[in-house]
Amino acid sequence: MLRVHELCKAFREGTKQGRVHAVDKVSFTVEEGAFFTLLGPSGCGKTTTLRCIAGLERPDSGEILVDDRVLFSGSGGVFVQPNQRNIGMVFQSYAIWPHMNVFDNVAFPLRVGGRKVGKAEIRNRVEQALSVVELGHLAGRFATKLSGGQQQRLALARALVIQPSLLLLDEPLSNLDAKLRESLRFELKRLQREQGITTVYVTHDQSEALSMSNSIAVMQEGTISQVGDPFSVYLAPENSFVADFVGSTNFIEGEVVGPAGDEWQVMTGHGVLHVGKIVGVDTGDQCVVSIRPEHIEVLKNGARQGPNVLTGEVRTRLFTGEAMDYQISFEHGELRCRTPAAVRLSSGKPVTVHLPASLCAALRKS
Amino acid sequence: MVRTEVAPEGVVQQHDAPGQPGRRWGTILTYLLGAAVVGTLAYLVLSPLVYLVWRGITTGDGLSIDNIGNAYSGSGTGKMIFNSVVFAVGSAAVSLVTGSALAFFCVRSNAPLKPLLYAASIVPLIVPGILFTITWVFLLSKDVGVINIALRSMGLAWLQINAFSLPGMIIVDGLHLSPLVFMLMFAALRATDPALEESALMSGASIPQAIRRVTAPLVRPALLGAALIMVVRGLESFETPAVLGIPAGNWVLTSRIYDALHSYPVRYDQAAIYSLTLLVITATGLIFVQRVNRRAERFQTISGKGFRPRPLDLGAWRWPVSIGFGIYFFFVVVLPLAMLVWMSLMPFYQTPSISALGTVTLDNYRRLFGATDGVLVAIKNSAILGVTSATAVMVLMSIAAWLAIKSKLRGRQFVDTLAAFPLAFPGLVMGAALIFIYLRSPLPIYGTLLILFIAYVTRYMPYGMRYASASLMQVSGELEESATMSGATWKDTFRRIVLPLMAPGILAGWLYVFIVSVRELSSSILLYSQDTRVLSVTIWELWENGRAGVLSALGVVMVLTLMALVGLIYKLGGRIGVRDY
Ligand SMILES: Nc1ncnc2c1ncn2[C@@H]1O[C@H](COP(=O)(O)OP(=O)(O)O)[C@@H](O)[C@H]1O
Ligand SMILES: [Mg+2]
Repeated sequence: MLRVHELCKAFREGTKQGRVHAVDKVSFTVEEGAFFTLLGPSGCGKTTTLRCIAGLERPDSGEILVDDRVLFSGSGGVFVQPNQRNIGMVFQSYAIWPHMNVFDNVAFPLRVGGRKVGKAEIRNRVEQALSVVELGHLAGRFATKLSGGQQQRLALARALVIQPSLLLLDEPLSNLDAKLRESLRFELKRLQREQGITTVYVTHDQSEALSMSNSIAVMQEGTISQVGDPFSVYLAPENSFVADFVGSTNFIEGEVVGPAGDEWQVMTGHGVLHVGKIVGVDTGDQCVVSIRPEHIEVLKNGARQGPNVLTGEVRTRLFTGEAMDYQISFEHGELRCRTPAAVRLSSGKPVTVHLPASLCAALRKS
Repeated sequence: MVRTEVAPEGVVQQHDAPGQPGRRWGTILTYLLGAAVVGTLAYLVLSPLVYLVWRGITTGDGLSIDNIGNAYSGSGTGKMIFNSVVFAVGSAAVSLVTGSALAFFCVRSNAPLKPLLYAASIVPLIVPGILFTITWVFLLSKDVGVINIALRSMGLAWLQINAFSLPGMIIVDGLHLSPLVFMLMFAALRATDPALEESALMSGASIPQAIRRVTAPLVRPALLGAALIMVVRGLESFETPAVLGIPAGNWVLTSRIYDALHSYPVRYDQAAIYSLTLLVITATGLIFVQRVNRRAERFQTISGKGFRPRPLDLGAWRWPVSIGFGIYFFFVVVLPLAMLVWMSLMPFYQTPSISALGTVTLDNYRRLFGATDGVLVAIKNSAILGVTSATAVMVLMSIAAWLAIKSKLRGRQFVDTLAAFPLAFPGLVMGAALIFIYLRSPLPIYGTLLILFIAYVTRYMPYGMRYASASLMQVSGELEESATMSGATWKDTFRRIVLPLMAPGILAGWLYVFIVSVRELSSSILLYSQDTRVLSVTIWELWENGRAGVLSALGVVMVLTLMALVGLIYKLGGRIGVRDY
């Protein structure tokens, strides 16, 4: 289990006198054996958070605990050196040592520091770690002769061989090509589950985060914007930043009018819209109504009246293989809408859509 | 269990953590080390400069600018300045044309025999300058030069060039320097993304148009930088003006400095003024080079993915181009070296011919190892100096590079500047300055190997720095950090990760400094004494005494040794990406 409490880390900015608050009062808890992801755009402080946990950066304040062992405490003056933390880490560049072969790379952690492991034991554990990542047959090969995917798995074996209490992964898939990236996703997830190892994963790729994690923290400018399981982050974003960054969404600006039954009414350019819920706003507040493109229903035969039904005109359409993406223009702005590939609408034709109230949310603008 | 740990200094933690005793000691140690290295650097670099200026602006009666007037009022000064400029610009032009053409065809064409092209481009640099020049005397001297004899026999007498003339000097020096241009342009052409050219082709440009409008502007800053460096090198060049210029009375700045310090009465003031003049010109030139290079870097495509230079299809010109370079190879590499071997096998000078073959003998080689010519002593001195200077340079520069790149000391950029400064010091100027310092110094250094050692270490610091920083850059932060995460202490990390990764680069740098120290002539010629002759000085003296046979034998041995060492550097240097020579 990992607990991070009110972690802060600022950097002096090279050129100016100012300080960059790379990590600003970040708190979260990762349960034993869970796969936890820090998700956010580049520069939001993910790597810095991870490096603080690893001990490669010294935080300014806050607390870090692994399995109730205090690794860092700003107020208590505790800082455990990174080589004493028993944490496995896979770097973005993999950091494979080019002067060693595959076996020696994995054996290194067992040969250094306080661990005095016998030769036979080293061989056993390295071979086991290599077979877990399916590199057993390449033990004698020079590390630089491996492909990108193999290097990634080697880095993983090296991190796992010490049986760490925590595994840290910094965008481990970002250096690979798309096809490989997808297959390694499953691989990584399977390994993590089999080994039952508590994992913190850093990525800027939302689909990676959604598909692999037990729990996701969306970060924005050094702070955590929302924490939750993949479903709640995707389906119930708490603010417009999360809605926008995780998946794509339509935003319609408006003002909350008030409750109407178990729904709420919002005044927008398209008229009054009914939304299933409001988050962080109240009657009279400015807000944005968020609805995902795939949640918008296309009413082909048009003839339906009622709330949340709008009529517009198809501007452009994009065939993406698994779906059709339409851009539909209305009197007051445009909406993106995704339908199954079988639904074909022609450009320039009028179209009526329905925004199901239960899937619309009024969010705080951020 | 909760443990409070004290960070070891350096490798991983580089942030200030006030209030922890271990860190403070580490920091103090870093500062002391920094101060020691910076102090040594500053002494080595600044003392020659200060003494030179001091010597230049004082006479027996105190501060005065009389020296300048005296130095430049003598007869022949105007001619000397004119010669210097023509020689420098001319040899730069020769080396630029040959060097860039070779580089272009080597990187960007599908000409056959490219490895040969590469060898042709590099070898002249391996041959020590003094030997290169002397072999060209055998080829181009007016009456007995082999090439001239051949031209006369073919009725092409009008094509003859006399080595002992300004054009002769320009050609010889230009050919010797052309590998440097080749190296610079090779790198520049390699760094240019061919996609830029391809998109010009896709826009409808023809190949010559694409080269003229896209490739040429892209490499122009590099070319300009190379041109400036070559002019500076031409001004600094000593071997060619000394061997080919002095006998015919074609004086330039460097040969004047040599003459002022080597003929009686010794004219220290004149030497100081000429040295200062040279120093000002070279320093200015190099500052401009730096500017130009910064502009050139802007053009270089920075991308993680390497790209292969796209070879240009020469079509019908493939073979003519290659044959042209084959001829170049023959004249610049094969012929001079063959001539050296020939001379080393002759009991006395004879034009190569079948009949002369009967007199072939190994006497010259035997004489090398006899005691009479002092060759053995010279070999010993050169070896001692090579080993000690190379070791000193690499140790000093490894620390300096670490300070400049990895430490967080304030003023660390200063280390870089200091270490690069000796590039502006021509060898003769360094020699002259060291004479001024140590001639009257209470330290009994003058006339010992130590003064040569100081000269070599100072002159070759910049190259040592380049190798050391390149190999230090190899060790990216994450490689060290992942060792730490594996549980390694900083000692483990240093011994098992940093050191093995840096070793090839440091070794390559060591070999490089060793080689250039063994070849060094222009400082040594001013600083040697009876007992401290080194190899290059011995060659010089053998030449002055007309002992071409023994000289050639020594030359053959030296060139073979150097080639083997350069091969080794290439193997090591290729791994860490330092290839500029
Ligand atoms: N060593 C450093 N010195 C100064 N600023 C830094 C340093 N490391 C990170 N930063 C800054 O901190 C912010 C967060 O960086 P980082 O954690 O690397 O972001 P991410 O990994 O999410 O892309 C950025 O603005 C970055 O410029
Ligand atoms: Mg990052």
